[in-house]
Amino acid sequence: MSASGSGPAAPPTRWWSRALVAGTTVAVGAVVAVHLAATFFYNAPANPVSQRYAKQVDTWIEPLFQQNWRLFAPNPISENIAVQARASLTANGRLTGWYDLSSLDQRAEAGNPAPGHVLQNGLRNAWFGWAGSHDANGNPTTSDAAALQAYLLNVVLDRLRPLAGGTIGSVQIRAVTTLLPGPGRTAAQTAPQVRTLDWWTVPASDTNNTASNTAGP
Amino acid sequence: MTGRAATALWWIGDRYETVTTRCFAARGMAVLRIGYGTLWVLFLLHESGERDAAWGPDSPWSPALEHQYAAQAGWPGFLRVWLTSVADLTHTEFNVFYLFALAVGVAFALGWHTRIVSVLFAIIVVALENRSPLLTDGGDNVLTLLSMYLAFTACGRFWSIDARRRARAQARSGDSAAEPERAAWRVELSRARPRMVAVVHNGAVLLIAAQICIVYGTAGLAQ
Repeated sequence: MSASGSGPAAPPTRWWSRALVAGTTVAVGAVVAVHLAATFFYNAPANPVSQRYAKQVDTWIEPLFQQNWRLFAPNPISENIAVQARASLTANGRLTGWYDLSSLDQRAEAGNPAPGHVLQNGLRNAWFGWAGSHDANGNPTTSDAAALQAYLLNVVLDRLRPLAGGTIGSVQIRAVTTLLPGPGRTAAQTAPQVRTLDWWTVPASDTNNTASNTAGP
Repeated sequence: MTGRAATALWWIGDRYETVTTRCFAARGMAVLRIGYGTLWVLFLLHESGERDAAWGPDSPWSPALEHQYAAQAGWPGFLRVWLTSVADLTHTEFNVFYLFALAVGVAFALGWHTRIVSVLFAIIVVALENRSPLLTDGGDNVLTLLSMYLAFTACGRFWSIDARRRARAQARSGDSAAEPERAAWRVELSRARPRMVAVVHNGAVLLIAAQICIVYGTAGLAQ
C-alpha cells in the first residue's frame, strides 16, 4: 500500500469496496452542493430565493459557518463612534465625569504596533452588538438582546473600574456619532450626534468582585 | 443519439476516476496548513498577555453569559457542548488548554500526524473563537472556516514531517518489498481508502476555493 499517492494505486476490485468509493463520492457531492448553495445564499444580497429559504440556510450555516464579509466596508470609513460612560458610586452616590472609553482604548493602542483583540474589537463590537439588538428607545428586539446588554455593561465596567475610584453602583453609557466631513455633507450633518442610554444598575454579583478589579493603575 | 450518450457516460466515468484518484491542489493545501498553523501560533502568543481578559473565566463575556447565549440560540446538543466547552474551564484548566492549543498549532504547521492533528486543530480553533463571539473580526472568521475545511483535506501530503517519514519508510522498504500477508478484505479496503480520501479532499478543496471567492465577492459588492 503506497500512501504517497503519486503512483496509480491498484483499483478496488470487489463490489463492496467499489460501492464504498462510489457512495463516498455521492455523499461528498451532495454535501458540497448543499454547502455551496447555503453559503452563497447566506452571503448574497437579498433576493427571492434567499428570502424563501432563509430558515433552512440559517440552520445549515449557523453557528459553525457564520460569516459576514460586509463588515469590511463601508460604515467605519464614513463615521466615527465614540462610546462614553460615567458611573454612580455606591458609597455616596457621587457621579463621575464622562469618560471617553473609545479614545482611551485608542490612546492605549497608539504605542502598540499590533494591539490585541480586547483593545481593537472589544468595545466596538460590544456597542454594535447592543445597538443591533435594541431599538431606538433601547428596547430589546432579538432573543439574544439580554446577553448583549449584559456584555456591553461588563465591557464598560472593565474599563471604568480602574478610573472610578470606588465601587460602582450603576452606569450610564452614551455614544457620540460623528459623520466625517466630505463632499455634499453640511456642517449640521457632520455635527456630533449624542445618543444617551438609561442608567443601568450593576448586578450584585458583579459589584462583589470589584475589589480584585479596582487595583488598576 | 446513443453515440452522444456513450460519450457523456465515458466523460462521467473519466471524471469519476480523476476525482477519486487525484488529490487536487495538495501542495496548495500544504501551504494553507503551514500558513494558518503558523498564524494561529503567532496569534495565541500575541494575545497570551490578555488571554484571560479575552477568553478566560474573567472575560466580560462571562461563562454565565455564554451559556445564556447558547441556550437562546437553540443549537443541537453536540454543538452547544463544543462551542461552550472553554467557558467551563477553571483558571488552571484554561491555561493548560491555551498551552495545548499552542502545541496543536505547532504540530499542525509542521505536519506531525497531520490527519488527527488537523481535526484537533479545527476543534480547538472553533472552541476558542466561540468563547467570546463578540471579540472576533473577519480574520478570525476566515481562520475558523478554513480550519474546518482543512480537516477534510490531505494537507499533510507535502512539506510535512509525515511526508518525510513516508519517504524514509519507502526508501527503506524499496530493497525488500516483501509485504506482510493480510486478509483479502483488508487488502481490498486499503485499495478503496486512498480513493475515498481523495474524493473527500477534492470536495473540501472546492469549498475552500468557493469560500475565498465569496469573501472577496461580498466584500466587493458591499463597497
